[in-house]
Amino acid sequence: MERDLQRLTTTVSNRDLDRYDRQISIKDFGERGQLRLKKAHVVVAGIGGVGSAVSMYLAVAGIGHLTVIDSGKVELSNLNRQVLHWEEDLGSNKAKSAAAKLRQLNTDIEVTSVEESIEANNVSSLLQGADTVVDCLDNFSARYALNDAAVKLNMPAFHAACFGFEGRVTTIIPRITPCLRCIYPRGLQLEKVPIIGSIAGTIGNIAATEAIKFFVGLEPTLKNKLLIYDGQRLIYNLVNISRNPECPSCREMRIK
Amino acid sequence: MKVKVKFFAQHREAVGKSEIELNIEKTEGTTVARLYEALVAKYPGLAKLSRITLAVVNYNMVNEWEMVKDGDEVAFFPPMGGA
Repeated sequence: MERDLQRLTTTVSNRDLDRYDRQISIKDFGERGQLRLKKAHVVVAGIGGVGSAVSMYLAVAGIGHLTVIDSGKVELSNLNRQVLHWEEDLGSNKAKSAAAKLRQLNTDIEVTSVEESIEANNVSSLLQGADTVVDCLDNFSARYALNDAAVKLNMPAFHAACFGFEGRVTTIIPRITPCLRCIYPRGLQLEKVPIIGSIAGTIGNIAATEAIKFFVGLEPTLKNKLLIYDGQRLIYNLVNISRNPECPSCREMRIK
Repeated sequence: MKVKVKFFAQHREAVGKSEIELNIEKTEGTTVARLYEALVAKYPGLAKLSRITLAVVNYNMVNEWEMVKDGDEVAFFPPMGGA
């Protein structure tokens, strides 16, 4: 309640005008766009390679409130891609490690860390009060739980995933676009996914750009489209995706 | 008929190529599912990934019972969940 009131009365300060000058000067962005970012609350689910890039660029863009969620601990084999976690963080919780860096990147925003794993029974409460969520999780059971909750809460979600030199991104607007279960009715559980950090960064930044465009009031490009990025051959493909009328997650919400 | 087939992620690893041209006998009812079966016969490594979760023809997501025509470009995308 207090936060809602705070958000209503938020304005762009002189410091904001200075700090974000280079993006405020983008045509179609302006002070209005900056104010919208400042009022935004975004959840970044999973602070691995993709989540590191997403949360860093949302933080420096001035998203007013970032919540980072991850129950995992930093391991040596994470450091090839999870750039928010450093050698000194080995063994620490990832949400905590990420939040500490994000607060240093931008002291003007609020950063909340949640040291929990996303599951069907807690995800709705974790998303409560946020405007959007970026799905940077590393397994399908958590991704499906997040998807189902976002659809129920009518919350836009940005999906980003990687494999090797490849990555995929889409923007999910419940009732308007396909949800994750429409695209992949069944997930594939892998023990260990091969990933190079630069691809996780590229994919995370595309998802962050989609989120920023959404808040600023520019049309997200990846509505009803799945971006397929093939970094090995340097090809971007846009595939037209469609809703599954039988989708167990979003079918009830279909506009008749 | 001739179709171009593109492979991604684990499919690409199983096939060892990012795309191929496939000549298939034009029978009535060459569906995406049947095309995938023909691919499994040619590349047995695809068998363990046989669930066609996302099939795309000419850049449009399709159902597995969708028909494939001469000259189509077909792509299969195994689910991707890493980060």
